[in-house]
Amino acid sequence: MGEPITAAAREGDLRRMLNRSALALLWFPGGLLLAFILLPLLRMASAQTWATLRSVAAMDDVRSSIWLSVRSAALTAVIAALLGTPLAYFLARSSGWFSRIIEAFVDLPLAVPHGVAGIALLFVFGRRGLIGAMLAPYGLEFWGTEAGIVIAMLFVSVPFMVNSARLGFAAVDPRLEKVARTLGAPPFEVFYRIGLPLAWRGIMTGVVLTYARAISEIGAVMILAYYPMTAPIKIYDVYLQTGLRESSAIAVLLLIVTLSTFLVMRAFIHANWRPDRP
Amino acid sequence: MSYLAIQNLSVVFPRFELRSISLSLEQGQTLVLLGPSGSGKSVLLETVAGFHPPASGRIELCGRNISSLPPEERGLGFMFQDYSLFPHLTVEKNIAFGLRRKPEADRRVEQVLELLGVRHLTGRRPSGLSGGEKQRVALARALATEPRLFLFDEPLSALDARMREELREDLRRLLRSLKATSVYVTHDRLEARTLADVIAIIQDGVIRQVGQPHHVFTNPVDAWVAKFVGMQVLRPEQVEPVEPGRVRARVGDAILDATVSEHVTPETARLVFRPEDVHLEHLNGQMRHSGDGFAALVESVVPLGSLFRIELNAGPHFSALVWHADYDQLQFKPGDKVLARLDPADLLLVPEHRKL
Amino acid sequence: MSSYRHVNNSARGKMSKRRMKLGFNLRSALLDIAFGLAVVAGLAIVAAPRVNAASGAEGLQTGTSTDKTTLIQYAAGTLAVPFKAIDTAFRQEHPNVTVQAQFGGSVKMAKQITELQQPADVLAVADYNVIPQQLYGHNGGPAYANWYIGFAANAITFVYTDKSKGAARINASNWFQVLAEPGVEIGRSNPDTDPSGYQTLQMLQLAEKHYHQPGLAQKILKNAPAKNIRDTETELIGALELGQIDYLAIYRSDAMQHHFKYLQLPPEINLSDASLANQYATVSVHTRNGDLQGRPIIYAATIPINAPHPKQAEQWMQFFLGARGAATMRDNGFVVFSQPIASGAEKLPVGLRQLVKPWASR
Repeated sequence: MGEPITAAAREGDLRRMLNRSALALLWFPGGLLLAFILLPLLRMASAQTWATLRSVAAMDDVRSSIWLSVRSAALTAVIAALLGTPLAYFLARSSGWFSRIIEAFVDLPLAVPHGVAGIALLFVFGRRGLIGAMLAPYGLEFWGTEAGIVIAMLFVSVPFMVNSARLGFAAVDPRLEKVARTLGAPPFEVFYRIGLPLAWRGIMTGVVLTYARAISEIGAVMILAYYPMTAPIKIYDVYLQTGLRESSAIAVLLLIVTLSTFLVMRAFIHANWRPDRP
Repeated sequence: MSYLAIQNLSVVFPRFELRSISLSLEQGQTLVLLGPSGSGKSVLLETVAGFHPPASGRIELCGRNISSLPPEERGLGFMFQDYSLFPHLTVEKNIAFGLRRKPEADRRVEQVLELLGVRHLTGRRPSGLSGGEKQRVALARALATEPRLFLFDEPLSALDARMREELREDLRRLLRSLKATSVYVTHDRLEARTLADVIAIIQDGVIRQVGQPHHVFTNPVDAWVAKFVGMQVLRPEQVEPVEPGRVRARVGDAILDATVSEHVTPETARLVFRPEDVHLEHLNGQMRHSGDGFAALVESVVPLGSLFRIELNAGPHFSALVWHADYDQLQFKPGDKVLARLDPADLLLVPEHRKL
Repeated sequence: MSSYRHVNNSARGKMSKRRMKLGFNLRSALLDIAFGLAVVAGLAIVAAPRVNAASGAEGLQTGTSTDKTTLIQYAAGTLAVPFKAIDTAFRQEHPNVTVQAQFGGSVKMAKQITELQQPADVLAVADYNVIPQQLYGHNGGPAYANWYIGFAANAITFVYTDKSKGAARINASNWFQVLAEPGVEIGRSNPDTDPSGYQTLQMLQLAEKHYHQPGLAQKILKNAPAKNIRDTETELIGALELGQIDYLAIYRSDAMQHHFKYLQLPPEINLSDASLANQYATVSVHTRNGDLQGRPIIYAATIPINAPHPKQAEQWMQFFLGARGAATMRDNGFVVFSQPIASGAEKLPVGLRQLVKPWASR
C-alpha cells in the first residue's frame, strides 16, 4: 500500500461510501413497514398466557369454528382457481377495451363494503333470490349454511385470484404459445401444456391470497351465515359474551393456524417451481 | 405448380397493411424475405403460419389451400429469434412436443436427435444451453413433426457476429442436406445472400423485388432497393440517351456512361453501383476531367477485415470497397487525390422509386 | 459439429458472486429492519405514557361551555333514529358541542367502554340490566359506571311485510299459530349476546302461559333456528326486506321507524309495562350468561365515571330527558316515562337529580 492518497481517490471513496449507505437506507422504509405489521401481532400474541391459549384451544366450538373457517376458505380457493384461471388466461391474452372493462368488473368486490356485498349476495342467493330460489328444491341453500359462507368468501376474494393468475399468464412469452400452435397443438392444448405450467406460480399465489382473504372475511359472511360460526364471528361472539382476553386468545389461535397453512402452501409453491430459475 | 404459392395476400392491421403479396417457392428452396424493420416481413411470415387472418388472397402449400386453416393444422415448422424453447420441459420433451402417439414419437425423436447431433443434451433444460445448442434443439423440435415448410423469423439477429457466422453456416448446410423448403426472414444482407435461393425485398408491406440473390444485388429495380442491398446511389444532373440500353450522365464535373434497362424519367433518375466495382487509381498532377470517372479526394479509410472502405469526396460523396491486396499495393491515405472509374456495365440508371 | 460454448462461466465463479451479493444485501437489510423496529419501539415507549395520561387528564378537565367539545356517545342500534334527531337538535342549542354517536348491539357498545377502554360520555342501552352487568365492576374488576336512568319502555314484537307467509291472515288471536306453521321463517337475535334475543324468548314463554298453549314457544322457535339468528336484530332488517325471513323479532319502535307491519301483542307478554314486572318475572330463559328472568323492557342511559366531558354530558342528558327529547322519542314509537326512573340515584350528577324519581326496587 504505498500509493499516495490523492484528493481524487478520497473523493471516490466518499462517493462510494455514500452510494452504499444510500442503498442500505432503502431498506429502512421496508423495515418500518415490517415493524408496522409485526408489532401489533406480536404484541397481541405476547399478551396471551399459555393457560388461556390452551383453554380456548380446548373449547369444542372454538376448534370447530377454526376448522370451519379453514375448510371453507380452502374450498373457496379451489373454486376460485377453477373458475378464475380460464378468465385470467382470457384477460391476459386479449387486448382491447372489452377486456379492460371485464378487468374493472373483476376488481369491483374490492371496492364494495362487505356488508353491502352480503346484502347483494342475499338478493341473488337468498330464499327468494334468482339462484337461491332455483336451487332450493335441490336442497342447496345459502342462508345460514356452509355454502353461504363459501359464496360470501368467494365474492370478496375473487379479485385476488384472477389478478394474480392473470399476471402469471401475462408473464408467459406469447411466442412460446405461438410455437406450440405451429407444432400442432390446438389452443386448449396450448393453454394446458404451456400456459398453465408456466403461469403456475402466479396461479398458486392467487390461491394463497384467496385463501387468506377468505379466511379473514367477516362482514359479508355474517349477513349470509352467522351460524355455523366461522372463526372471526366466533371471536366476535366470545368478545361480546366474555371479553377481550378470551377473544384475543382465539384470534391468536386463528393466526397460528393461518400462518402455518400459509407457510405450508408457500413452501409447496416454491418446491414445485419447475421452470428454469431466473 | 409451385410448392408454396402466395397469391395476392393482403392483411390489414390498425396501423399497417400487407398489400397484395404474391410469391412462389419450389420444393427444396429457401426464400429469404429481406427488408428493414417495420417492413412487414415478420407479419407476412406469421400470416403464412396462420396467426393473422388475411383480408384477401390465398396461400397454397403443396397444392392445398391453407389460408383458412388454424396454425396447428398447416404442417409448418416455425423458429423465432430466441428459439422459444419451452423452459419448463427438457430438451427431449421439447423435441417430442409436437408428436402425438408414443411409440412413433420415441423413434422420431431418436432420429432427429441423431440428425442434429444433440443426443447428448436430452436431459438438459433450455436455460443451460448455448446459442448454437438452442438453435439445434429448436430445429430438431420443428423437424420432429416433419413439416412441409420451415419458417424462420430472424433466428440469428440476437447473436454476436462470430456466433452468427458459425450458426448461419450450420443452418445452410443443414437445410441443404435436408432438402428443406423454407421461408427465412431477415434484415441482414449477408444472411440473405448466403442462404437464399430466392430473395424478396419487402418494404412497407409491399414486395419491391423478387429474384435470385445475385440478380437482385446487382440489378435493383430502383434506388431504394439499390441502397438497401448495399449499393451506392448518386443523383445525376443531366442524362442523355446514347444508344438503346446506354446513357450518358453528368454528375458534378464527371461524365459517366451507364446502363439502363427501361425508360427512366430524368427527374427520378439515379445512378447506382456496387462500391466494390469502383476502380481507384492515384491521380498525379492536375485534376483531369475524364469521360468515365470522378476526380475525388480521399476523406477516410476504414478497415473492414479483408476489405477497406474508402470514403471519397468528388462533389457528391460516395464509398468504394477495395480488397486488402489492392490497398496494400496502392496505399490510399486521407487527402490523396484519386481517380474513381466505373465500368458502364456496373453503373445502372434506375428510377428513385419504382411505382408498383 | 463444433461446440459453441466460447463464453465460459465457471459455476463456482457464478456462485461466489451470488453469495457475495447476497451477503451484502442481507446484512444491511437486517440492520435496517432492526433499526426500523427500534425506531417504532422507541416511539411506542415514548408515546404510550402520554396517551394514558391524556385520557386521565381529560377526565379532570372542566371545560367551559365556550370550548369546542365532542361528546362521545354509544347507544343501542334501536335508538339510532331518534338519537340522531336529538343530537342534531341539541347541537342547535349548544353550538359548541358536537355529538359523535356510535350505534350497535347494547352489549357491544358497553364493551367499547369496558374492554376496549374507549372514552365515553353517554351510554344508552336497550335493556337497563346491561349497565350494571357490564359496567358496575363485578368480580373485582373496575367500575365504569355507578348509576343509570331508565327513560323509555318498548315492546317486543314481530314485524313482517306483505311478502311474508301468512301476512294476509295473521292477527292478534292467531299469530302464534301462523308463526308455528311449517315453512315460515322467523329471525331473531342471539340471546347469549343481545337483549332483544333473550327478551324474545321471555316473551314466547309468557305467551305460552297467557294463551294457555303449552309448547307454543318450542313450535315457534322451530321456525327460528340457528341459521336465522344474527348477533343483533337490526342486522336482519335487510333479510326481512328481501324475503329471506317472514317475521323478525324486534322492537315496536323499530317497526314504526321502518314502517313495517307488526303484531299488536298484549302487554302481559310484550314486556312493555313496568307495572307488570312481577308477572314478567315468572319466566326465565337459559343463556350462556346464566338464567335471565323476565323483565320489562326499559331503555336506560348513564354517564360513565371517567367521561371526558361530564359537564356537557349532563347538559345533553338534561336535554334528552326534557320535553323535546321525550317528544322525539315518542314520535319514534318509544313509550317515554312521564318521569324517568333512576337506579343509584344518590350517585347521580346534581343537575339530573330533580328530573328523576328513584327506581322502585323489586
